[in-house]
Amino acid sequence: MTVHRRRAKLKQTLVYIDAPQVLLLKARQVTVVALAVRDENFELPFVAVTVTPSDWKKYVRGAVDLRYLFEYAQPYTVYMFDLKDIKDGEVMMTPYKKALPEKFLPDSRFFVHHHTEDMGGFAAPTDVQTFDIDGKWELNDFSKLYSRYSDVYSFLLALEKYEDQTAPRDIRRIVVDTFLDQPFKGGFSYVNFFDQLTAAQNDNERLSIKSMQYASPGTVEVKGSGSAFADANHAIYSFGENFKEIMDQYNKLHDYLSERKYLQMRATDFDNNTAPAAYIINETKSLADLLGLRQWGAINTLAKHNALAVAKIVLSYYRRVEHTFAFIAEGRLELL
Amino acid sequence: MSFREPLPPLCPPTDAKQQAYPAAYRLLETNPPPTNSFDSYNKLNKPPYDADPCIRAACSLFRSKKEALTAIKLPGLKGHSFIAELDIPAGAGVSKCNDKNGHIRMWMYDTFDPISAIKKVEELSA
Repeated sequence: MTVHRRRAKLKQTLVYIDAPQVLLLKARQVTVVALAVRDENFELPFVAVTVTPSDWKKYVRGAVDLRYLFEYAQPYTVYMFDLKDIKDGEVMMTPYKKALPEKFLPDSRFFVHHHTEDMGGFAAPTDVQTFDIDGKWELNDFSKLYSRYSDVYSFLLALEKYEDQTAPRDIRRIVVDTFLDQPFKGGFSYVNFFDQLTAAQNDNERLSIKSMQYASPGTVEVKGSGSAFADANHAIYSFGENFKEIMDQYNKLHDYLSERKYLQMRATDFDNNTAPAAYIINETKSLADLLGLRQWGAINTLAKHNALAVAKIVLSYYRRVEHTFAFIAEGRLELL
Repeated sequence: MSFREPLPPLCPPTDAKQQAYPAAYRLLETNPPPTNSFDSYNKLNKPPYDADPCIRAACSLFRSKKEALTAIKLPGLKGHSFIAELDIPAGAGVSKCNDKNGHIRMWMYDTFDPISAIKKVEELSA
């Protein structure tokens, strides 16, 4: 494919150390990041790469470093330009057709927080949830806790956004598509389901570690949305108040689906116009009520009223709440 | 008090303060540093571009050696082979320090000689 010269508008200097070092530009709607380099053929040489919206979000969140954008975030287009030729805030970028040499690449671990200039338009999470931990913990326990808690948090937040008629359409669309995309068959299906729901989160809602003191006792502080923390914590502690009844209801529904081989069936293959469908939906509703899932209507709508899909979603939510609560029941965790 | 170089209007910013740095760090390309090694982008007569002209009139330093070494991860700064440690008194100029990454932006008074404030220069291993 032929790559042509391209005009880009300077939006912001991101790093200025004696001279501009990293620039943010826009080529129409495309985000371009440019790095000052050393090349004797230019006065103020820069290499620039196009960046996808998802990679740019990752970079702004601090989930990837600057080198990632220039080396791994394919597919991208690489350009070069001389900043001395800037006119009316615009530069003309020339395609750079070779592989970028090491001398043009930033070293690893230069992140957004190393920028010298503030970037507007990014709201970092400010609310903090403290996990107070005690007793003996293995490393695997931390990842299990974080993963399960994160799933509960994402699920409840996604449903809240779906129910909020004032939420942006594209965000509600992410929630709808995530429910439709999954066959709800096999473990990966559920992992994908909960992972994809995080795409509906704003920057200030994404969970990130603020501090860790992995000791016993110790604390882990996680940044995110205060109201979503409150919802997740309420769901987990409510489970503890009534866990025997909830477990019995879970086992009843799970056993029914297991005995009839519905657990191995893709939700889309389930015949929703049969007696088992009515039974499954009733028993699932009982479980949802016990779990305090007031978003029952939204779950049904999102799952297109497919009884097996609704049941599998509620069962998977139960397992995440139960696994998180287990740390509390064992005396090893308190959510402050 | 006048500055080492002419500054644009409204420069330095009002939140820049007189601040002492008993240990501040400056990346250098050569050692001993030439007399212009603390000059700003403007003073070095580099082509103007659309950044705040006050920023272009400042000198960059770092609060710690570690933070300075993070900066040379950028390819535009990789030619810096030395790092100088300076003792900067409060009356040397006005500055702003970015708490997140330790970058100090300084507008120096004409009474301050940064080269004589250098305590030591270390070569950065290749």
